[in-house]
Formats: sequence, structure tokens, C-alpha cells
Amino acid sequence: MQVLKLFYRLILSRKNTILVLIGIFLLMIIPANYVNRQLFDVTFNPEMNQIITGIVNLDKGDPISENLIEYLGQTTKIVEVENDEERLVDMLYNQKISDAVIIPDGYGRALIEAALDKDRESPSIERKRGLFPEKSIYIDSLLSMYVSNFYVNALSVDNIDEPGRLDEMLHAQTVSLSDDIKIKQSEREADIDVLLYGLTFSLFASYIYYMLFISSFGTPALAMREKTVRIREKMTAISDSSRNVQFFLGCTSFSLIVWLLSTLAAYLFYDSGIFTEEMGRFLVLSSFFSTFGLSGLAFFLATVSPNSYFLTFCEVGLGLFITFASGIFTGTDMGGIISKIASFATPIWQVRANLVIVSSISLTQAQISEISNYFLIMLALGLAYYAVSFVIMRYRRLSQ
Amino acid sequence: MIRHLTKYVGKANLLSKDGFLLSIILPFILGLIFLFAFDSLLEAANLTPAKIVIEFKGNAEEKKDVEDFLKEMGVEGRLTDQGLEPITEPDDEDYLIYCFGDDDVEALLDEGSINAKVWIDNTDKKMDMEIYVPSNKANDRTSFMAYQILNSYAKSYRNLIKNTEVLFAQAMAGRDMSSVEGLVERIKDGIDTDDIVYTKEKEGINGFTHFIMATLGFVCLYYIRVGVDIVRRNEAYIGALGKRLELSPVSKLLRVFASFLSMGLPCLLATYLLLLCYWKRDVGLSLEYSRVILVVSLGVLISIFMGMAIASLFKLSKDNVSVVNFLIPVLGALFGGLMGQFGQALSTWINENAPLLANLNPANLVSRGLYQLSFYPSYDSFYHTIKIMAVYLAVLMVLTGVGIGRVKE
Repeated sequence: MQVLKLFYRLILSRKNTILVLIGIFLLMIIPANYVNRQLFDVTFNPEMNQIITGIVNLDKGDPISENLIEYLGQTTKIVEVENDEERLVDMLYNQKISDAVIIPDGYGRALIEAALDKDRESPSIERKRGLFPEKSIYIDSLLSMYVSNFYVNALSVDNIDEPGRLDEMLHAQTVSLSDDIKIKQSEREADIDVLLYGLTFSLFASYIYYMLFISSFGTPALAMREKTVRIREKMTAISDSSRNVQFFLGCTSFSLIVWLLSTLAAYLFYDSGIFTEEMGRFLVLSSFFSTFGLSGLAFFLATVSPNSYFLTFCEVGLGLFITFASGIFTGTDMGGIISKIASFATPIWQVRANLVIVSSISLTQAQISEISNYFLIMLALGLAYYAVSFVIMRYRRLSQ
Repeated sequence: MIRHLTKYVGKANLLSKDGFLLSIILPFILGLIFLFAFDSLLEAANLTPAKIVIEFKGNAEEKKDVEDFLKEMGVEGRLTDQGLEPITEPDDEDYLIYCFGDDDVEALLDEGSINAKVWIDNTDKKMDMEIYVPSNKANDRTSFMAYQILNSYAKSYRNLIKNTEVLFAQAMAGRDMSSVEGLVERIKDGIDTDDIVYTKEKEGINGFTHFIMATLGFVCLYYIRVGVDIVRRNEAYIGALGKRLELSPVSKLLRVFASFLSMGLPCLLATYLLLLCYWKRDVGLSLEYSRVILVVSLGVLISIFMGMAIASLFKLSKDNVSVVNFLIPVLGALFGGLMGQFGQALSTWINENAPLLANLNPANLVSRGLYQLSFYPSYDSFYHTIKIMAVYLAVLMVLTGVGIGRVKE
């Protein structure tokens, strides 16, 4: 077991790399955990309070425009912004506001005139979009709801210039917009800690595993191909196949140790739900299969890697692409061509499996079968990468 | 001599078997893969329709009002063992798949096959609605969409019924209704959101454009490895090339400069080639070519000189070289907003609370500069970023000079 021992000695000699990777993981997981704990609501709440609407009101003093702002303020947080485009774009870039609504001068007057005269066109509100399209769509739908209800309320107004008539109409507008449909609350709730483990911890961990495996398997793999090392090896009793088997055992055992340690850390971090609940157990299994597949991919890349430049590229560039395209950073399946490209690695299958697992409080047979398929794909990918690597190693031995 | 050294080092690296050429080509390939992948994301985000089961109370006429609305917003479905299946295939304009029925759908809700159960009581046209969204769909954006559509409809419906009653009373009291008829028709036709809001922004630019800019920032930062190599390949103890270069009759500073010319310039060329591909695909990158080239060139040079400064100031072991080569690009991507929405939030937090750290990240500076070019109304902010980058580059050059010069030959 000389090669196996050497493998672990080489890993220990790279303790700086391991420490830095643990540091990166903590740097990612602590803020992400905090942010996602606020976002992963287990009770349905349609008010998107996290949206900050920046308002540039050029129609100050107009009761209709003020009424519109008040309405937007009911479901989003309002921030008044000065009329400076540079400042507005800056606030959007720095996410001080999620989206901006610019109410032009005379908007209120133009809106009531359009509501009372079918031949007049609706006045337009200028919008500045932020970084998140879904927030823009939400604000657009609020504006659309306000204007359509305004038109309906204006039907019963026969003379807007009559004193108090506009106030009366705006009151009716506020009442008509305030009556939301009722929400029946869920009686059975998912465990938020388990959700966080499945959609944050285990996915981010896969990214770190990938980098760790590439760096840990790559160094010995490159060293074993060095001419001087091979000459020295020829003088020993170790055969090529024995060396390769020991290297394989080293890689798989190291992957298993890393996975076990991080799962233990998750257990301490997220409580026992990840082992006691059905959802948690499936998520742990999903992480296991994904890790196996990643170790296979890392083994393969280490085997084919011609030099350290290629290895760093696989570790940093390709790793970032795989995780980004798999939706690990967003906890969603991105779909389209991006996910097709990423299908050669296990993270995308892990994301898909986890999404099915967390989508259900009690898994049906069909869902279990879908999840099992994803697990099998991850297992098959891992085995395939190991098998191809062994074929390459054998080919190299024969050609030498 | 410098010319000779530049040629010699360039040729030696080009033909080198250790794969140095890959450190120039691979970031370019990575940039292309990201471009290819983002292309599909830049198209409008498609929402899958929300699946809802409706338990209805009311007579046929009252039900027809709801059905008419639902037909506008989606397609009808039928309950099967697999959940709610659409009868006709929904298109991009369909936001809901719905069916009426009072079946017990708790199991379907629990397994996540449908988004919500909705109770509608339209007896006497009162349009009372109640919605149940299970906890497993509480964060699903299609659930929010279904709620928003139904809520909007319920409000408008109740409001219209109430106003119809008022109008009827007004007509009885002698109000001339000729002008109202046109207004009612307009409301029935529906008001398009595009008629009430407008944006000046370029078509095709959306939240994902930011990732394109972050990607270019990351590609620039990736060249830090070339910077580390420029210095290390001039060290005699590293390899044969270093030993041979040391024999040349010029100072180490000039040797490193020659290496920078032969190894750094190809990085710039590869990045320009990548920019060309980004422009060709029209992924929202500003078309102000010279300014884009300026900001990206500064990004590449800062990254190279950052690597050179680190390698010349600190004696790096092999393990530490590998740490620098992967740690800085990964941290740059993390703090530069490339790691999803969480990464963007982190990047914003750093911009806000630790501006110095944000300005130390070349990936962040490049993506910020590109964003300012695309979205800001004037060049003030852009040139401010350029000034920061120029000063940063000058500081790194000085640090590299100090690091190289402190070792007496």
C-alpha cells in the first residue's frame, strides 16, 4: 500500500489548499444560509416586501399620483429618489432599489382625463429595470392593476370637477385595491433546516468537493507520469495495475472521508432533520451520489490532464462553469442549452433530484422513481468516468 | 537585446511542453462556453404555467364569468394520476392550467403536482376567493404568479360589479350614458401593460446581462496565473529557461519586462478576440468599442501585474502558487457577482460596505466599468472606474518593480 500512503502524504502536504477551500466554503455558506433562511418561507406570503421600489415623483402634490405611490407601498418598500438618472442607475446597480418607477409631471391629471375620455390615450410611466426580471414583472403587474381599477372606478364619476368627487373616487380606488383574496395556511410544513441543507449546503459543498478532488487527485496523477518517478518506479516491485488500483482506492476513500466529514458538519449545523426526515434522508443520498460522480470526474480529469495549467483550468474555470450552469448558486434548474452542456457532470442531476425531493411533503412512487433515475445517472456517470480513466491508464501502459 | 529576449521567451513558451500556451487559450475557451450558455438565458425568461384546481360555488352564469377569464389566462386541464394535465398544449401566453372540481387534491398538493387549490364563491357575483398554497410551493414563482392573476381579477371583477350598480342607479337618475359605453368597451378589451409603462433600455438587456459582464471580469482575472509565471520563469531555481535567461547581459527587471511583452500581450489579444465574439452575438455588451477595450485591457493588465507583484514580493512554494492560481479567481468570481443571485447580493454588500475591497477585485472593476458603459447616462462614473484601475495598475507595477529589484544579482 505504498502508493496509497504516498497519496495521503501528498494530500497532507497540500494543507494550505485544503484550508483555503474550507475558508471559501464558510465564506459562501454563512451569508447564503442567512439570506436563504429569510427567503425560504414555508408559509405562502404573496407580499414581496424584499422589493424596494425607487420612486421619482415629478408630479408632487397630485392626489392621484400620491395615491398610486401609497398603493405601491402596501406590498413593496418605497424609497423616494431624486430625479437624477445617474444616481438612479447607481442605486439600481448597488441594489439599494430593486426597480424604479418615474411618475412624469402631470401624470395624475392625464390619467383621470384618459379614464373619462375614451379617445385619450393612457399616460405612460417610465420604468427602469433592475437586475431581477421577476421583480420588474411584479411591479408592472401592480401598476397595471392600479390603472385598470382606476378606469373602472372612473366610470361612475360624472363630474370630476365637483368638490370632493376626486377624493371620493380615490377612496373607492383604495378600497377596491385593498381587498385581497384570502390565503389558507398550510397545516403541514416542511422543515426549513432540511430545505437549507438541500438547496444551499449540499449544493455549495459539491462545488467545493469538485475543486478539492481535482486539486488532490491531480497532483499525484501528474507526479506519477513524471519521467523520473516512472524510472524509479520501474526499479521497485510495484506493478502498474497495482499502482493504479491503489491510486483509485486513495481517491475513492478520500472522497468518502470528505463527504462523511461534511455531512457530519451539516448534521451539527442543521440539526437531526437531515437524517430523521424522509426528505432529509433523500437529500443526503443525493449528495452522496453526486459526490461519487464528482470524484469520478475529478479522477478522469486528473488522468487526462497533460499539465498543471489544464488542471487549474479544470479546477477554477470549468468548475465555476459546471456549478453555475447546474444552478447550484441559484438552487434552480436553468434549463435550455446551458443545462444540456452541464449534463456531463453530476451537480445538475443533484440539483434536479433535490428540487423534486423538496417539492413534496410526502414523496409518491412516481417521484421516488424519478429521483432514483437521477441517482442512477449520477452513479453511472461516476462509474463511467472511473472506467474510462482505467482504459486510458491501460492504453498508456501498453503504448509505453 | 530586449527585442531578442522577447522573441526568445515567446518562442520558448509557445513551444514549451509544460502547456503554458493553455493558460492563454483556456480563459478564451471558458469565455466562449459562458457566452454560448448565456445566449439562451438572455432570451425572455419563460414561466411555466401554474396548476390550480378550483372548487366553485355559484350558478352557471356566475361560473361562465370565471371561465371566460380563465380561458384568457390559460388552458383547461384534467386531473389524472400524474396530476393536472392540460387538455390542449399551453403556449407562451398561457399562465394557468386549471380545472374545476371538488375532488380531494391534498395528496397532489403534498407531492407538489399542483400549485394551489382555489375556492371561488361567486354566488350573487360576490367573487370571494380563498387560495391554499402548500409549503412546498410557497417559494415557487409560479405560485406568486397564480395568486397575482387571481387577486387582480377578483378585485377588478368586484369593482366592476359595484360600479355597474352605481351606473345603473345613475342612469335611473337621468345621467347620459352615451359617453360611458365607450369607456366600458375599452375596459372589456383590457389594458395592456405596454400601454401604461415604457422603458428606454435596449431590447434584450435584462438581469442576465450582468452575468455577461461578470464573466468578462472573471476571464480577465484568470490571467493572474500568467503574471505569476512571468516572474517565476525568470527565476533560475525554477527551470532551465530561468537559468538561460539569467545568463543574458541585461538586468532582471528588463528580463521580466521582455517576458511580460511576450507572455502578457497574447493574453490581451486573446481577450480582444473574445470581445469580438461577444459583440458578434449581441449579448448586451456596449458597442462603444474603444471604451470597452480600454476597460478590459486594464482588467487584464491589472490581473497580470497582480500575479507578478505577488510572485515577486513573496517566495511562493508550489502549494502556495496553486493556492494563488485558484484562490484569487474564485474569490474574484465570488465577490464579482458571478455566483448567482447570492453572489450578486454579496458583491453589492461589499461595494456598499467595503469599497476598498471591491476596488481591489479586478473582476468587479471590469464588470462595473462595462455596466456603467451600458446603462449610465454619462461617462462620469465610467471614467471614475478607469481612474481607479489606472492607479491600481500603477501601484501594482511599482510593487512588481520593488519585488524584482530587491533581489541583488
